[in-house]
Amino acid sequence: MIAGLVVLLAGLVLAKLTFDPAPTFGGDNTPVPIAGGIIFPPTEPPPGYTDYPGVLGVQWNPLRVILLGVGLLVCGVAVYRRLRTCTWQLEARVETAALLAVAGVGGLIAYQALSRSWDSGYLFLTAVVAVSLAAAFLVLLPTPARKAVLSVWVVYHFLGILVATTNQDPSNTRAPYVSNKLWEFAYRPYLGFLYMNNAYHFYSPDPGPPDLLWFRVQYADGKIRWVNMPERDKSPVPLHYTRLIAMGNSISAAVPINMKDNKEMENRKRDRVRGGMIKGIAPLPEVAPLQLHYQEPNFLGKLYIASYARHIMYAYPHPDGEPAVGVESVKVYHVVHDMLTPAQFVKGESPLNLTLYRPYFFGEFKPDGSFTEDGARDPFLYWLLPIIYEPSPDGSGQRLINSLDIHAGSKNPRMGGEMTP
Amino acid sequence: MKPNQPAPEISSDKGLLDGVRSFARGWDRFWFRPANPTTLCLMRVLCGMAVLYVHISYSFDLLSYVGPHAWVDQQTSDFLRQRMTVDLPSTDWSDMNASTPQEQYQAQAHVKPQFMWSIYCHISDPRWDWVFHGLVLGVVAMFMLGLFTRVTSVLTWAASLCYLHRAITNLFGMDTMMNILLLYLMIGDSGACLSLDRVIEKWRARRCGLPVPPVRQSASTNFAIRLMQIHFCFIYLSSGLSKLMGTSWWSGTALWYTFLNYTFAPMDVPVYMAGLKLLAQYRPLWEAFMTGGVLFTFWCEIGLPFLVWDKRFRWFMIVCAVLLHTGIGLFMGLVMFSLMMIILVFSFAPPEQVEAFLRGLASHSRRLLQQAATPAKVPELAGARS
Repeated sequence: MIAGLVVLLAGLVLAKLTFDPAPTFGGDNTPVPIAGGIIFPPTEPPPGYTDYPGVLGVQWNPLRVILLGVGLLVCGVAVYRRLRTCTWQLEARVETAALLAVAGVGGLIAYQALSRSWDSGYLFLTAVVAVSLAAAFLVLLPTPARKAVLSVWVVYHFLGILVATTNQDPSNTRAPYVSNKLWEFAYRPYLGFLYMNNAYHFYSPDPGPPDLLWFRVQYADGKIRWVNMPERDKSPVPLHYTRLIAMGNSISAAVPINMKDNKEMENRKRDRVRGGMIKGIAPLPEVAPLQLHYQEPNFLGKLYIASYARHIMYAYPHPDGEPAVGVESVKVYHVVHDMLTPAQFVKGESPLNLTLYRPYFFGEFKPDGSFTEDGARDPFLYWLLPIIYEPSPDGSGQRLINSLDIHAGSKNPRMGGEMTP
Repeated sequence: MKPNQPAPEISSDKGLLDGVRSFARGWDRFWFRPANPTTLCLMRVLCGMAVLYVHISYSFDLLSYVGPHAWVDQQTSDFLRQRMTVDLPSTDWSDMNASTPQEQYQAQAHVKPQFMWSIYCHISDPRWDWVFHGLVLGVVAMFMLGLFTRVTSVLTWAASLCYLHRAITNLFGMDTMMNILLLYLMIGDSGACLSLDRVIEKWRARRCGLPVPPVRQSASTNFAIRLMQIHFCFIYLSSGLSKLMGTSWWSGTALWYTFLNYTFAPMDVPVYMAGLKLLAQYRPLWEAFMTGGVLFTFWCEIGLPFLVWDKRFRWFMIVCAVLLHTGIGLFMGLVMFSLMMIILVFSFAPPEQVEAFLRGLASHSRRLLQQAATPAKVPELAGARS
């Protein structure tokens, strides 16, 4: 334990000598382009913040983190060794409690030595200190009282799980008020810290169609490349593929239409129809409800889409290996891949029939994640780009109108035609 | 005053007190009775292997999950942790009486939803991402082997949460189950047997000339197992009851939309497609199969939380759950999720039976090894004699 504390103190000394970078949102004077063009204004530095450069600069920061990690680990090993060998006599319990409390002090030292920009580390170390002190208290208690405290924790824990399972809005209504408030006041930090917020509503209320993400990347020299997520044959392991599927789900939550201003929606619809007539993009099917045509993602979804666009620009440089040619913009399409009904399946229709894809345009992004000027004004933003068959003008049959290709200005190889699985 | 009048009151108080005492005894027995750790330790081995695979699979595209330019990049991750808020109903009716979305927003409570923590939120140099990832792989391997299990179980849990809190949009049910398993395996004495810790313990005892100590039975083992069991029941019940809200589950067609989901289902496998076509050609067969599948799902998800506690139904329900998840793994492509669920349902397996099974397996393997070794020796012996 002493060794652990010494290492932590060394980390603390080093912390005082190194430069402490500013927290990202706080003290940063540059505006943050995020969430598809929404620019967050810079915030004032927190009180007492001074941009002290430090004696050693920033290069010793990794050593500081290593010292803190090793120090905490050594303290943890000391606690483990003590718990393995100690007895439950009162005297031994007091010694064990003291050791646990000292481990908590180790956590406090690490807290003091942490860089100000490592905000999530503060959260973790707060939990370490709290658990150490709670454990010290628990060890001191006689067995019946210890069991009682643990029982209270069990009840609290599973009430939290119950809150997590019920605190999810069902379609068209809200989650129970009581669950909402219990989550707000009693469980947010606890469940959030443990990553236990899942409601376990798997495939409910109904198994929906998968959400895909397609990116059209345009480089400065005019070259265009499509990146489709996910693609089974491009994933090195099955788990990689499943993780990319999950990414599509993250943006599927849309702002309910009734939350939008009616007048604004009418204007958008008029622009969409006019734009469709100019560009030759298929009109909106009149029978389908507006919710199916217009799917503006919620705020979180917009954050993620901007981030995905930035990732694509970073991870997919020019295909001909010319690093000097940067990415100019990325168009993002959210594509819902509908499934065949049994009747369609029996008729021999392919699950890859192009008309089963419902692409929605989710914006054109600059490398910093904000909308391009054209993207911000695009009348098709968040609208469905229907892929439909319509009678050909010469009356000889039907022709495919692929509004995605028309809107993107290039053909996605994935939409090259019908494939039979 | 009749002398025997207060008697019923005393008896009812006593009855209540007895009831409370009996409940407390039952509660104590349920949660804190020391238990054989074999089931928990086997779960550690299986879960450890799965967790190791999960973390190795991160290596193929590590920086797109946790790097500074990941799918959720550092800028977004910082924003989510530090500034993101969610809207919740107000404590009065003002949000319900609002006439415009703006008024409603002003009336609502706005709270910070994210309590994310991860070392990957702060590492800006990809080389350090790789260094930390390498350390994590080492720790998970140690946990799987049961080396310094009490320490490595905590480190494995913390390390895996570093990925979950960072790659938040690349997660699915498997990660949730893995987190649950790791949390409870950390609480219980999951290295008491089937571990290198146990091998070292035996070796130390032999070196000192002491008898080999018996496997520790501890209250923490039972506590962890019970936590897993109750949590599993919550998962199943929530999953089953939420499906009751869905129209396709009521009409019995829900399974079709999982079987024909091109992104998940193995629709590039000819046998699978041939089977689906055969099924769809005969509508009564199709309807019976789909409705049967839906009923089986409900039987498992809503029935198990109640029936699994009865010894007569326990193994039957465990087998049903294993079948359900085998189906999910095969037809919906969620192999790792299913594996985690099967490991979790295994917490209901009685440790004595698991121990007997493992002992039988070990002796059977020994016999097989001996049989394999015997024919090779015969010609040598024959040659030596001649």
